[in-house]
Amino acid sequence: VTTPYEHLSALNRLVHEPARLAILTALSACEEADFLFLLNVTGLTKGNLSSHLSKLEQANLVLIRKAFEDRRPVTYVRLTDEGHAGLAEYWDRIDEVRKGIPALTPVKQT
Amino acid sequence: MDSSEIARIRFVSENFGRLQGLRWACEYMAVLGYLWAYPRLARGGDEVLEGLLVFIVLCVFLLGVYWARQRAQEYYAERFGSTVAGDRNRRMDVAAYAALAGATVYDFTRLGVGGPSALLVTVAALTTMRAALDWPWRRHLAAAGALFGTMVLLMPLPVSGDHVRYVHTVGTILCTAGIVTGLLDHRLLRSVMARRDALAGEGL
Repeated sequence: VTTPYEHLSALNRLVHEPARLAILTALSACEEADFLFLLNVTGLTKGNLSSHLSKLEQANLVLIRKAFEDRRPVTYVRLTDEGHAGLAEYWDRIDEVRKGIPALTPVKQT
Repeated sequence: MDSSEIARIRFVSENFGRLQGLRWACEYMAVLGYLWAYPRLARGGDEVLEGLLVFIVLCVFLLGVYWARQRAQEYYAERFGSTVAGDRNRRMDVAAYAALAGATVYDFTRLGVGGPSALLVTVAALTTMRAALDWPWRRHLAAAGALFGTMVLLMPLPVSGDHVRYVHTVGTILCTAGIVTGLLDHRLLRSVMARRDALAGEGL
């Protein structure tokens, strides 16, 4: 039987980080979002958002597409299949941790 | 970051298009304007002249709706950004529009027969369902659903006589509720988006 601790240690650190989890959550609820939307919905600064998106892109969790609209550059981001699977797995593990906590008994100190 | 923050992000991302209330408010305002202008234009005089006048006014309203919608869309894109809705959302919206169109056609075939309006029943059901799906964010939709539910009981289809007055009254209430809920959705979007620095200090 896997303990909550083992589930916790198996969490994907890339997904578990709060800012990246916020980005992945926002992207999981739509097909595609632009940089400005992610900036507004997560409350991150431009620099932080760019840096987190780069990390997620390197891990192949998101796909970044750059386009020009009305002669202005727009950056679109979407979750890859791997990103969807990674996020789903992350929430499954969190659920397992949550379920396992009541079964834990405190250690009596002598 | 706690679970309510995750719920907020998921809700905004999933419903970003629906929360752009100014777009819907513009459309409802135009329909309301047309509903109120129509009886004043069609007074039973020269049919050709009146028909032409009604057509011109309709074109002006449609152009106005298009212009206002474009401006509202630009405002949202420049202020909050943009998303492409998921397939599930698109399918739900198409199903809702199809149900509303079907109910309207059904009502028109039964005008003069009496009984509850299928359009009002559908609007009440869809609004209540949306309020439940988006609970507790869009609580104002529950009030709108209750209003439309009351209208189903109080305003059955006319057994005979003045169909124009019925359409006018129902349309006025539907459009007014649409404008109010649109403005409340817009306010909700502004409030749920204004969370700058929400993740500040969380290992950034």
